Amino acid sequence: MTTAGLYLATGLAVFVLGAVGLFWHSNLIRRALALNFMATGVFLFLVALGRRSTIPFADPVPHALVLTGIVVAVSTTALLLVLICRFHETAENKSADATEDEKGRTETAGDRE
Amino acid sequence: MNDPILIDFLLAAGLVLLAGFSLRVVDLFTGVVTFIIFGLIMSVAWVRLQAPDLALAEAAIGSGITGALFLGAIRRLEESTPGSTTRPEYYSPVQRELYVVGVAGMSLALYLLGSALVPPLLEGPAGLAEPVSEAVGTAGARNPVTAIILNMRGYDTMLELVVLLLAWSGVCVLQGDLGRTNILPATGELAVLGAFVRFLRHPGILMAGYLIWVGGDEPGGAFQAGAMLGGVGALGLMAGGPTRPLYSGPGVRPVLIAGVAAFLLAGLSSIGTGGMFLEYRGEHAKALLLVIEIFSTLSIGLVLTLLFAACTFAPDPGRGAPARGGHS
Repeated sequence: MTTAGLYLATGLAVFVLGAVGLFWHSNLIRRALALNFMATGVFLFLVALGRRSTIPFADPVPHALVLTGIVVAVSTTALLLVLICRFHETAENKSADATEDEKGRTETAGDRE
Repeated sequence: MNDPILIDFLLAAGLVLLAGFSLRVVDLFTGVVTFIIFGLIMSVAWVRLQAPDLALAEAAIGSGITGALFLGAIRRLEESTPGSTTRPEYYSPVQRELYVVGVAGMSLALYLLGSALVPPLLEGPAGLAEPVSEAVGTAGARNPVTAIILNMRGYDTMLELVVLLLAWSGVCVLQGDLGRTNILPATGELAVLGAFVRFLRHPGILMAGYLIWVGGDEPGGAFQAGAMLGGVGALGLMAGGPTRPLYSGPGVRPVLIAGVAAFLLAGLSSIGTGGMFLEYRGEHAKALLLVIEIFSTLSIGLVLTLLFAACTFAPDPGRGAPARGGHS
């Protein structure tokens, strides 16, 4: 196994954890977190691909692409988080939250029994 | 260098475990702190992959600013809907099995796909690496990543600044200005934080300037420097909170568009000297890139500060915040 191979596999695993988490979790903040893990997994994969055996140095092109990606990811995250906050702060969703809260509590209580 | 050493295995295992733990832990605050630790370990992994520019960007933006955004949003949600960030999510046994099946199935599918597609890529032609290393000499920056970002892929980077502005416009649509309220009273611990920030801001600004200057030849550049400024700005907001309308204050908008404006003007000037739009060559290239970087850094720093403020502080309802639903 080469260094590139190891980090390719790591990027893949982090991407999968994020992708499954994105659909599996119901908490919106956690989904935003999962999206960030997905992005990091892709970045790791992309940069590890730049460690080709045919060139003696790391390919700088994926580095530049990923640097752009990191900044785009932070913009997306900020917009997403403000959306989530506004979603929870609007009056209708506040009451929906309360109902879900009660539902969650009874379900969790039922689970423990 | 081609075979992984012990630290590579430790980093890989740590990254996967932290990612899994961060998403599964009940308390969201713990999850976000784990995400920040993940980012810091990630930046060591970037160093191991010979990507020091990314290590800096990951530590400053990927883990630092993003982590601050998450922590701010969690604090704000805890105020509007108490308990929402510590409430355990409920999953039935079937859902738990689905999670395992999902992770295992997707890993296997992607692994098979990757093992078919990746080896030819890793042993294939060198791609753009050779042309880039030949062109770096005339591109105005000896650090190939800076040369690619500002010169060879100038379009992408200019539009990346536009993406930051778009995110900011979206935030402005979602919530109004923060108003005149001093959100955090500067007493007790916060007074200490305030003193700390006053102590830290000048070295922070100096560091940002250093990162711009050194970015031409060594790892660094506008984005890392901008994140540095954003961090100083976010710390300042945490220590005092806005005391005047933050978003619409004088000077905010000119600085916001300074980066894109510098890109456009420099790009047009390169047409004037016989090149193509956003194509910089020869002796003026270094100066032009430096001007672009300085203005971009200011824009990025301000946008990141404002995005942090938007995530952390709920808008003052009295100050033209968008209506909170028709029924309230």
